[in-house]
Amino acid sequence: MWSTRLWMVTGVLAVSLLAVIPAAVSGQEPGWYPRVIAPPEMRPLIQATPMELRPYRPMHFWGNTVRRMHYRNNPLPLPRDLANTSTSLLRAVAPPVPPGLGWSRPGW
Amino acid sequence: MLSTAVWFCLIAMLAMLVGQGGYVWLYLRSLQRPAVLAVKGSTFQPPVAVLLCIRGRDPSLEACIKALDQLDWPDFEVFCGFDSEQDEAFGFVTELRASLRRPVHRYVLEHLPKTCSPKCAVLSELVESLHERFEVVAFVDADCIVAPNWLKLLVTPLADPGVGVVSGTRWFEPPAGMAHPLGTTVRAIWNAAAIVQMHLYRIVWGGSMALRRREIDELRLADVWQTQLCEDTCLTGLLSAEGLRVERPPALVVVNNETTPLRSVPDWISRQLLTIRLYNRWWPLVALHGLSVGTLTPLVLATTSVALVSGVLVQSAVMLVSFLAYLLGSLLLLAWIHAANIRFVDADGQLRSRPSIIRDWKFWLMGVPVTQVVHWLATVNALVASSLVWRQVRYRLQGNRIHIESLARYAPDLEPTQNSVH
Repeated sequence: MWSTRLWMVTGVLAVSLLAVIPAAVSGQEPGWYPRVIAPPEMRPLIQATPMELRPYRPMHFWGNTVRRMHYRNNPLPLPRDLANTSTSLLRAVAPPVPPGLGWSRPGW
Repeated sequence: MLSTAVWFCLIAMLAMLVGQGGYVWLYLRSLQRPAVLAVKGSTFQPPVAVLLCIRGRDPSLEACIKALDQLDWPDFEVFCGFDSEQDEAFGFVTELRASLRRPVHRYVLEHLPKTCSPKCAVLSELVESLHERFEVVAFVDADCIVAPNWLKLLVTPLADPGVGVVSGTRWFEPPAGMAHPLGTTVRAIWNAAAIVQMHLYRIVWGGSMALRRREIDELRLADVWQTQLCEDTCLTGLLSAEGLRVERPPALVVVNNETTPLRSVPDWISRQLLTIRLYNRWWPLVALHGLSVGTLTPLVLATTSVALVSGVLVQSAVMLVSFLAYLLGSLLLLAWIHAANIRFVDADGQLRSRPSIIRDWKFWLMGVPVTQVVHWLATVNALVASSLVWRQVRYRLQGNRIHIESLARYAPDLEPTQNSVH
């Protein structure tokens, strides 16, 4: 029962990831994935994705800077990035993230 | 007494982190310019002379010349300068020319004054001998393997008459499975931090720079170089006196993957700092930064040890945790500089493996305090130095002048000598 649920959650997260990649490939800035540490099942998929195409994540200092340089030609965070980080961190310590949320689109 | 020392260390670490963070912030802010876009739309394509000064056969010499042969600039010629025909690299370049698409010219130094390095003497004669048709002169070091668009990035900003010199950014990226992990990482850390100061103090890097021929002639740089140790650091003052600025395109990052043992790093850093002492007016600030950063780490460790030995466990624990936080903060600042530069490196296809700061983060974390101490030693060395050995040539320093004391031209039977600053 637990195993089935785990597979379902992983599947939903993976589909969310795949859904956000085309947006990034087309030059659109990726959204935020509100988790500091990704679930182990997601790691192979994340590692197979180029750094610029991965979504922003709270506390991912190096990767977020690479993405900001890629999409904005600006290494410094904007106020909305700080707000997204805070919101993501709050979500991480508050109730669990609904699996369907996955990696959000720009403007999340 | 101990309590005062603990408070002093805590405040000093916080102040250092905030100060360095401010410097990094200013540097990163300066990268927010659409320089890359400007390059794409430019029609400024003057004939360029690329000068490569060679002394001995560096491991990356062949790759360097082959990379120059692949440049996508429409009109350029490469000139290799030697201080002696006896140099083994002279024969090597002669053989290599047959396999290249473009002609590579060789030039051998005629007269070597005692008042400048062989490199400056070669460059001085070379620029005087260049054909008038070359409107721009680019300089490259033999350990630089440049990207095909290197000249495009380097020369295009010179279309702006307010720009006096365009300088690239040197980046040491430790390779995977490196031979000397600590030495190579310490040099990479030092350089990443030095980039910030080079940017803010407008220090030019001669390993990748370009000037208009007009400024070279008007400022009589050929004569100036006859009294210099290096061709680059003196340019900032000379050009700013003429109202010209140093341009450093963010995308012009030249990567060096060579490894180095830790024992070679202090002298290498000392030599870099010595050129600042000799030719840059911001030297007091650079020296102050080096002394304060390098003093803090031993001071914190000593205070922690005393607290531990005295049995004041709470204070020693607070110091240890604060020191770790300070190191992590420094590492985050380095990661910020790294991430801002690595994008361009990636775009040029020069970095194919995972970035070292992610892959070898333990070496980077361990390397931060080691670099701070090495930087302190190198700063003291550069402050008191009165002589220098660089590429088998011994120099004596008199104020901001140099004088060759022994051996200048390259000889095939030369004993390898450790570069050093005394």
